[in-house]
Amino acid sequence: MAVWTSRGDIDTFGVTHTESGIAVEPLYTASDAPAPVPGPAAFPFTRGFREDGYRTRPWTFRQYAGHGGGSDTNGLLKYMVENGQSGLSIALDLPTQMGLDSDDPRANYEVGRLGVAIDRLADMEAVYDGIPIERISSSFTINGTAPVILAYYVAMADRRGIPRDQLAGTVQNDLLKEFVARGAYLYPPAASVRLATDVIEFCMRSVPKWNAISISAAHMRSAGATPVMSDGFMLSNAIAYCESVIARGIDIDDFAPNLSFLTSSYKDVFETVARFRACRTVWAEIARDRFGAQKERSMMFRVHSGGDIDAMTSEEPINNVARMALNAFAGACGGVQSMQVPCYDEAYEIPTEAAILNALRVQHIVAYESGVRYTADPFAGSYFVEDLTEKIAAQLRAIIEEVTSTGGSIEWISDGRMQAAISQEARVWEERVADGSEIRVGLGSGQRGMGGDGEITVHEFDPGAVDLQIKRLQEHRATRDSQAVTAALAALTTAAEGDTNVMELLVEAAKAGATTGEMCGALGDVFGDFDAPVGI
Amino acid sequence: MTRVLLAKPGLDGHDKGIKVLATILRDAGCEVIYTGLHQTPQKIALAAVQEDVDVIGLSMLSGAHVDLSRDVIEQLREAGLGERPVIVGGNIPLRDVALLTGLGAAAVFPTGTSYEEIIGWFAALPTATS
Amino acid sequence: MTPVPVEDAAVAEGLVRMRELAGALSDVERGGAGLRAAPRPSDAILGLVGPPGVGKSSLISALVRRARDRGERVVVLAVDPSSPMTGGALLGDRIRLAEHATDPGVFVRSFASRGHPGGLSAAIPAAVETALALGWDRVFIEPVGGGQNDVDVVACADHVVLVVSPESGDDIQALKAGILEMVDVIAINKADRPGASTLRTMLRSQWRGRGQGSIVLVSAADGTGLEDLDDRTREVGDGDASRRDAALVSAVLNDASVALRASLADATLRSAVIDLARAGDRSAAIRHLLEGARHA
Repeated sequence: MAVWTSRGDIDTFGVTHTESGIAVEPLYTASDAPAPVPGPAAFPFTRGFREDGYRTRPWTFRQYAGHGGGSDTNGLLKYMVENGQSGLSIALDLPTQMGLDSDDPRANYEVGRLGVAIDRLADMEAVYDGIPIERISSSFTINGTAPVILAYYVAMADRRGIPRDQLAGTVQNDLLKEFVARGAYLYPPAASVRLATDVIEFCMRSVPKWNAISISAAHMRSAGATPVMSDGFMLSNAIAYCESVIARGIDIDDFAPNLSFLTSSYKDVFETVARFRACRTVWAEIARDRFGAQKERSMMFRVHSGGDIDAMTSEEPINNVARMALNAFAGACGGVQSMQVPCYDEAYEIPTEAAILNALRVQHIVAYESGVRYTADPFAGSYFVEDLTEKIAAQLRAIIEEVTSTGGSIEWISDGRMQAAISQEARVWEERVADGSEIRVGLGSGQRGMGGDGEITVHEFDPGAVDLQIKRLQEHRATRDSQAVTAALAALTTAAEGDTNVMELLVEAAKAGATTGEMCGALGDVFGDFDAPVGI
Repeated sequence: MTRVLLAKPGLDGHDKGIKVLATILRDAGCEVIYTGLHQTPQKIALAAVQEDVDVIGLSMLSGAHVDLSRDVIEQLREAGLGERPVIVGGNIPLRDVALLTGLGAAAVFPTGTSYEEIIGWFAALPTATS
Repeated sequence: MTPVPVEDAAVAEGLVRMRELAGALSDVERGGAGLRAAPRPSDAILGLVGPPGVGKSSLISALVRRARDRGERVVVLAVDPSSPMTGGALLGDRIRLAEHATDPGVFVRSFASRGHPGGLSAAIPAAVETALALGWDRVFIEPVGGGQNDVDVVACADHVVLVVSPESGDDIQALKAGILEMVDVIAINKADRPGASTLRTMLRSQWRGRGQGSIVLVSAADGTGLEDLDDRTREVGDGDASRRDAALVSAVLNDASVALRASLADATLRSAVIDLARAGDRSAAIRHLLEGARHA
């Protein structure tokens, strides 16, 4: 594992090694330059997919937002669109992420807190009231419940009379990383991958512009992996998903266009640029050489940068705006398709409306004032960045080789090897923080904790929205056609027990008035539950 | 020998901090029992009873720390472990620290607290030397 | 919203029993003698040993479920290693038993080995007796894991199951001379995976302990073979005293090594032993150590 761990000379960390621990020279010269890289818009797509870069269109500005009930979030989304946001990103609350209805005792205290509660189709329709879903794309950070959330969205489009092939957006739907890093899985690994694969197949056939999965590194980074290690595991997981779809007899070129990725910009600008370039290179190799893709579109590592939320400090929070600008600049130089930057108040709470607007404005400033859109892949040809790109690509290939040659991602996750590798790295990082070699400007400067004596205002949770959400849910259960719901859930169960793709049945159940908890519960009765190995 | 139960109440699955703390406390000589994710206050209290731990540590990053801590402390009291110290860590805004100690938390360690400080707290326990 | 009370009456009642047992086990762990059940059934204590990663805890969880269906109150004693350097330990076996977390009839206690060799902690034998004396019906013991050296459990359990999986071929080679000769039943877990029946054939030819019938193919995940395994672990002991005697001897030797190690805390004795050993006379060092320990 030594290849991509971040141990370095701790005394000089930050000068001699990148964030992922790659050694850096004080000077690079022409003798360090690798052979010129082809492109853009040519294999292996190191330089991106477009000859004109961002000239005709910047990346999609997509800030993450949502809390309370559907109408609270609707107001927030409209406000963001009015202020120049070009894509939506919906934050869902933890009970929705865990497949629980708002009145489930296990959901206690968490309803509407970190995102919006979606208990049923009407909640989704409230979120999108008056928003033209045929014209603006939406991203949902949803995994265990992804099939259900996508079913609501498609059912909403059906009821509005919008053809499914006009819908654009993303469900995260990356269950493998949930077992490793974030814990929002509902079923055992094999069943989870089967459902993720159902979503991919459904999108390929029925909602072709939808990203059926956003294979994610960012959460593994948050759990302690170095940026490069998280990218390596992300690509290993991508291979596992592809194998699962291909096992259904589906050609790589038919479903690869529905795959997307999530890995973030971090504080190290040069490493960030090189990481995005290296990920594009290695994914193109995987798609073409491992899976035999013919179409260029299948080889494109289309990525959303999630932003370095963990870098936000609660002390001197206004400093975070500088971090956000560097984050956005690095992502743009790295050629991402879509971007979120963290918000300055995000160290302790979900952001306020003002903080989300500020983050959007930071993206606008980088896009319209910095000159980053003059030319495609502006760092290309830099001795340093080209060398770093090559080194990172080599590390990614080494990680992928190690994982795939020793059982593959699903085994690494089922027996906790991936978790353990990340936990070890988390401990290394904490030791660097403890000995002062991990520098966070402003930390230790004063008051710990925002919202105390208060330099800035933080989001206040509104318990009233929860009571209203629960009341409406219970009214809905009392007044709906319960026979239709029962029949729809029974059909869902039958599909889950066999090999039938569950997606159309979820769309029907959503239209019949079934709730999130009922649909996930019906699947859970078939698939059982699971506790992932801790892997300390 | 100090026995510690580390638990994550609620639905939040961010466990980097609690896992790192588990290894750091182990290296400081504690016996650490980690319950895993998605614990209810009742499950935490029952585990604390069965394991007869000296300290119960909770980690929450979901914003629901006040309500969940209150429930855990209440359940421990009902289970007869009201005198065992409960410590709380995670994304805890300063305004909530006094609230948590008022509810009965023995110590609050918000994100950014040094592990040195936490180990120091454990070292001062009467069980640390026995 | 109000806090969720301990609303389940069975849980409230179970709490009293749990606290009684929890306190008694802590006494035992501090060196107390514990309690002894007067007459007790001869099939109440089940040990499960085996290499890491074969699903021992999942199998215990499934067997606990069966015991609960019979109305038995169950105790699981799980042992993990203590760090020899710091004495600290990470005890993670509860996670695999999560499905029983709110069952008042299931009590799970994690033990750190605290330097004791043989796969158990020094407190386990007394802990088992104490649990039975306090009216709990069935005790599962999960030793440290690794299998080969987990011999102490044979001396203290009525039945011992060696759990393996189709992936553990290499580990079984290492087990051949040790625990393999002492177990009653071999359970091949994850029996749905390729290689399970090949493994059974291999084990049949290697394992001459108890005849072919006691190798069981199981799957903790889908329940295959659990009834068969459960039945076999409830058969009245067959009087194979030599096996238990061998394990007892081994356990006593383990205890002896702990006692001898403790006697080396005496600096004079320690340096004398080191001097003799350094001079090349190991047997003189051993004689001196035994002598010194006797007087300690």
